[in-house]
Amino acid sequence: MNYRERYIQTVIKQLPSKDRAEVRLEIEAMIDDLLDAYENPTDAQINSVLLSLGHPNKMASQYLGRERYLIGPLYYDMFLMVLKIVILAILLGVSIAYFLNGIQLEASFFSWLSSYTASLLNGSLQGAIWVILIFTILERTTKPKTEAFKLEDLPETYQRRPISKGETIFSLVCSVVVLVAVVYFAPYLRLYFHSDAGWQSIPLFNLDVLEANLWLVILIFACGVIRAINQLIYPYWNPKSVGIDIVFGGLSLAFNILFFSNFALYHADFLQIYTQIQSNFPFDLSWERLVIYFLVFLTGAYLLECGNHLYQAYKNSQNNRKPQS
Amino acid sequence: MNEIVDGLIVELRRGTVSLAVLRLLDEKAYGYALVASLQAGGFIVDPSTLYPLLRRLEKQGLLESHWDTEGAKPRKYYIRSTLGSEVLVELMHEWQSIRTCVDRLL
Repeated sequence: MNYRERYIQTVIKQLPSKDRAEVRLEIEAMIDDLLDAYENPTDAQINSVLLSLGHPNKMASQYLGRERYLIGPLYYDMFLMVLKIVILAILLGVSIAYFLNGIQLEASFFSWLSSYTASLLNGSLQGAIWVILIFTILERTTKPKTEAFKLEDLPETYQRRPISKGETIFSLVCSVVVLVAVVYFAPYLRLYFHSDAGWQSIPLFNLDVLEANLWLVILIFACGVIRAINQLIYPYWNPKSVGIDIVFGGLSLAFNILFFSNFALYHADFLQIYTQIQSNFPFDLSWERLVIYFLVFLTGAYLLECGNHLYQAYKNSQNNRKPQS
Repeated sequence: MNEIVDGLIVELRRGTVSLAVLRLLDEKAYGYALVASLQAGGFIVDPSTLYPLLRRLEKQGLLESHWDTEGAKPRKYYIRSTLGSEVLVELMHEWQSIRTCVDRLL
């Protein structure tokens, strides 16, 4: 392929497909017009005309008339911060899971090390993909307002960040740790008991069912990341940030209920042993009941959180100049 | 310092190219002929800047175009649309006002 064709291809492949044929004709006409200065243009003269057109990427961006980003300047710094926290938390979580269980593994040190390294890479990549996906959606669904605005809409000023960054980072790390724990730690979450045969253990989860329901865990993680990003965007509670928090907190709760109330998730041997153990308790604490208590606790915590955030938002709206957390 | 001056000159000229193009296109012309006309008026514009600009102005409805395939090679001719003429009047008015203000300050 000659340089002329390569130049044109480089420009038009960056443009929307509907514009390509027309722009190709325009660039060809432009090059032909510039070559009119020469009677029988040589290769060197054609090359010099192509060079005079400037970098094909620059011409493509002039045809596009806009900059192209996956994540634009508005969210870029926040994206980098969340990405770093998520990846660090995953590295930490995976490391804890591996080192805690390292002793139990019968495999050689090198196979343990290669499995550990692969899990670090795999976990970080998965976390990064989710963060990129969430910010890409955010970038495309929220546009900074540039039209008329009301002075009351300007963000509050504050001496101390009302929702502390540490709190937000902590909740983000918690989301990551839950994901890591379920993905990497589940095989080692076991019930240890002593019998005539000595110490024995049985897994808590039925790993096949857990794997089939991993999408729920990933959605819970995504909700956690979105809630953390929401708190980073709005450092104090207002109707909009509370609304977003309630919606994604509610979704997270619903996914948690779907996940934990699926009794096929728990290993049959575990349920059997637990039933035997709990028959010695002076009160009825069946596994079903325990799960229900746990879900009621999660729901209660969510409702309390909603109430607290709504109250803070109300207080902030009453006292515009002194935002509360 | 030259880089700063070059950057500011680019900013200063941006927008005036659109005005000059709209002004010249009361008669139909193809891209390279426009480059030559602008250069004759002392306005140095790269073809690689002008052709995308013509396309953008056409998308905004300020220019109309048609391909002439009769000649030895196909050429895209542009002419100012009715909307383009109305916009030009506004831009010329604004330009005069800016010129007066800047002249007063300099």
